[in-house]
Amino acid sequence: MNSTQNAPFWWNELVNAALLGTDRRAVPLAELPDDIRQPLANQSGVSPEKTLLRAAALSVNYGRAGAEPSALPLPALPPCPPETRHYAPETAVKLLRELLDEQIHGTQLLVLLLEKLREQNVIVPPDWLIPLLEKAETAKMTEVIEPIADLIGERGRWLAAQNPAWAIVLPADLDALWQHGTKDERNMVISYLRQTDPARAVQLLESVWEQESVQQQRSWMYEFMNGLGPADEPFLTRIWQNLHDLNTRKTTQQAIFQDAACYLLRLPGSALHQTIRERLRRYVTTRKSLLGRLTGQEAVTMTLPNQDDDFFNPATMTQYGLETNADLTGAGRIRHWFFQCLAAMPPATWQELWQVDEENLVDFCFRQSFGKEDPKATTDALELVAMLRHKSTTLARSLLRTKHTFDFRSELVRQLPPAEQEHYIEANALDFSEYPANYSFLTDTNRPRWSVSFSQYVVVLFAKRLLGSYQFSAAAKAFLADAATGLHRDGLLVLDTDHYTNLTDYQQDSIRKHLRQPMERWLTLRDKIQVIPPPSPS
Amino acid sequence: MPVDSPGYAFTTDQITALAPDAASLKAGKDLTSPQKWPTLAANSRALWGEVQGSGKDPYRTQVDALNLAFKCSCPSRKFPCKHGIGLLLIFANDATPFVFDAPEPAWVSEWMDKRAATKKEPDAAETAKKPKSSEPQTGSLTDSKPDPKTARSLTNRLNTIGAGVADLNRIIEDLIRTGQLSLTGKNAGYWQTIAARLVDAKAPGLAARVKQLGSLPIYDGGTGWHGEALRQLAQLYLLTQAFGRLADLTPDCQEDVKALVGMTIAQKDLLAHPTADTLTDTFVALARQTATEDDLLVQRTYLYGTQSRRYALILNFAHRTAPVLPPVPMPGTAVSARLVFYPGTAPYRAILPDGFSDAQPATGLLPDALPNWTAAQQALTDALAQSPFAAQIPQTVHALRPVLVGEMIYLIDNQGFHWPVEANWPRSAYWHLLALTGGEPVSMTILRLDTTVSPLGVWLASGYQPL
Repeated sequence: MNSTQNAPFWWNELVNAALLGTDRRAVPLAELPDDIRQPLANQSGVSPEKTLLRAAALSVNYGRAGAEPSALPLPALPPCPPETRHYAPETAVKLLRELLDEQIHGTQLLVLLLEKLREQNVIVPPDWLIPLLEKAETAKMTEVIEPIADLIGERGRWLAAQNPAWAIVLPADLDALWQHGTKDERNMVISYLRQTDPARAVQLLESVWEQESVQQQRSWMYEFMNGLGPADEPFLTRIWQNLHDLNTRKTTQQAIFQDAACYLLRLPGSALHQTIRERLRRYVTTRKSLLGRLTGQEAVTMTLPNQDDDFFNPATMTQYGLETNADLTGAGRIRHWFFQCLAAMPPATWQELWQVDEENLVDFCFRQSFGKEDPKATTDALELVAMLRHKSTTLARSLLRTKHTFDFRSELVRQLPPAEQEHYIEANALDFSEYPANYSFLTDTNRPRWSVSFSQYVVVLFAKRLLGSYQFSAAAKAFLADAATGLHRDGLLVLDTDHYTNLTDYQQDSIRKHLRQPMERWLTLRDKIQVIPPPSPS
Repeated sequence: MPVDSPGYAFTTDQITALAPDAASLKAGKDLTSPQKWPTLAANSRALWGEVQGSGKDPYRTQVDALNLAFKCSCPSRKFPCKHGIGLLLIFANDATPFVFDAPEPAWVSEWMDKRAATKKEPDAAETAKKPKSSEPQTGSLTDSKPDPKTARSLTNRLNTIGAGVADLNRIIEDLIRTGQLSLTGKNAGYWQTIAARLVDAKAPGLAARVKQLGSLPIYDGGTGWHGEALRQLAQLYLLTQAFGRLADLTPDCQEDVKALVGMTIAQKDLLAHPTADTLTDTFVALARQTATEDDLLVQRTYLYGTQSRRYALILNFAHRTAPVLPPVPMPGTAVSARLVFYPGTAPYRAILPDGFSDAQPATGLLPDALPNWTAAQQALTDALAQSPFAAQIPQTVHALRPVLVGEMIYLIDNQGFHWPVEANWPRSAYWHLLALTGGEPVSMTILRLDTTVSPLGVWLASGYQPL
């Protein structure tokens, strides 16, 4: 009886009298139930305020003692399906507790454990469902979410179905989400499909494109960065054509128009790509040198476009999705467009234009006048193609062999096979200890164990960093924890060498506390994960 | 000459019981690698160590080993912090890494000397007839035969409280005569002033209830306070009226009223009484709740005797600035212990005079569960018939299923009746309950609040699980 809502009328009468005061309103004794009124019957000489307070005290206890549970029907929870799989062994649960409780900076050891348990086709005990679901909710990483979705079993999925925050572990009904979801959910559907089924994403977009706002259209255009392929060409061409035909385009429409052009330029089958390719072909010359005359081979050269080539003008270039740098004029401006054209072409087009193998593309470019005159722009264009647009290991390898500097060296290294990555990093003494997140591919759980030599290289790298600053950044701590998945234990032996044993006590202490001991602990955790026994059949 | 032991020892159970919560205990366990402690030392009165934390300098952690008090230079607000727990756990597991009989560094000796000095003060104060206790106030057992000096002191105190109670009665009656609406012209400080006067009148229990009135949404323009204000005023009035007629009440009811007013009994008086209600049993620790009330840290530990089928509440207090609380069992464990109950119509609050032992997971134990909400309500009615002041009564009810409807959680019994769960019960506990039960009916131990219930834990086939 702590609120006037749902309270009996006589209680509300008492509350009203108390609110106005017994000087203004009589105590509503006649309204009270007999059980309360009778004890108050003999109240002669008692002030009204005392009578009201006594009536209220009796009423409160009368209400508490006489309350009855409600029988109004309530919606029932759906039944939880029974589990059919075994629980993870106790040793695995202990490791899980250790990894979740300790809030280790990295996640790869957890991923390693989750994958190991997934291999064993087990589920986690009910006590661990909530911590795992919360981890999936906050991790936002597929490599964490997917194994968790499996390990939580029937009960975990049943639980996740009750709480929208955990829906991320449930198999998504994409059609339903697309039809009835929020704006964010619909964006998520497109984003997911662009990575898994790009053609289906285009189908969905086509069905609603004209009804959507230009802001929404623009945000969807970004998604074409994933899974761009020939199947996208008709849709992108229609967008480009429709906007091309407009007399005036608003700012966002202009951006969509350029985005569509930019993507089309990268598709060899598109008219835009073919036009640019043919334009570039004009600047390719072949001639037979003396040696060529003897061998029948032709020498190919590529020159920069002429300044008087009126194809290279701002209006045309904009139609092709190319950017115009307002600070540039004359030859500089044409060169800027030229490199953008180069960067849009896939390696196959380059090979066709220049009759050069992919292995020799980089050498070819730097032998040309544009490569000699503007090696940085040439490198940038090649880098863009190699790492972002067409992901070519051959091109990445060729580029890394040059002595040029790269804006995204780590992305080029990522394209190499694991052993080559290690060799390249070590041979070029790359110090990634300040921004180790760029090299997170080194700690992928499905990657082969590092070599002893590379392990020692990494340990030394971080030891140097530690001696320079006496503490690691959060990113460095995360990398080192994740590195336990790849590091060879013998890599730590380098810390026993004279160089480290001759350091000051404080330095040795710092290395021991921040590097050696954590690494040993994480390596032990890794080893324990790898020997988790299969569940007992009982 | 160095020694290999400082002459005291701790068990893991003891340390476990000291942990303020499960997270701190886990964090403390993570610090049990001696390599994490560049310094570990002990002597006949203290343990201390240095541990590298997130700061530049290592944290300095020290324990008064004889009185189990902690100090740490870390910024944690938990008490003891994970470093204190970790330090004790290392010592309990394997004391080898400790340097025994090490000279105390200044940061240890200063603290220990200060503690030793302040520890002497209460003794001096005791001889000056002003006993101190970790509890707010003291009183005496109903049927004890105090010496004349104590009896005079008690009479004086009753008179002082009586004056405060009369003052409060007048304020409440005036308020009802002129109307509760007049409260809207006042502010929350109005109730604070009245509460302060009640503290001066040695009635801290009444003062706490008056302060609650100040937290009603009277002063922020809300209207939902009308009924609740009358409810609280009526309960308060019932208590003050009962205190005014203390001599007319049964001895047990007198104890109920005195305890609620704030005249609690000193532990030494409780233990000294020959007819004190004592119970030795295996107790399941149902829940432990810690809250800060003004400057006090209040810890409530709920126990259930597996043989006696009795519930008990262990209530401990500490000042916020020196939060040293005695060890209590970890929720979810079963312990052997002897309880001594405070007197009352339904003795419930108790003390653990000898601590506890044999802590182990509460498996294979089943409670005496009430079959459904109807029976639970009847039990509550019976309790209220004994004492109208009975509050927050624990009950275990068979086969309850939770359901979330909008923002409210309900517990449905096997007959389809349901009772609402208090609105501020953490939603995380609801999810935990669903994870443990899969939505299947389960015996639950709950606290009965005024119109809602607060779940404490569930009895699964695998044992008791706190929520």
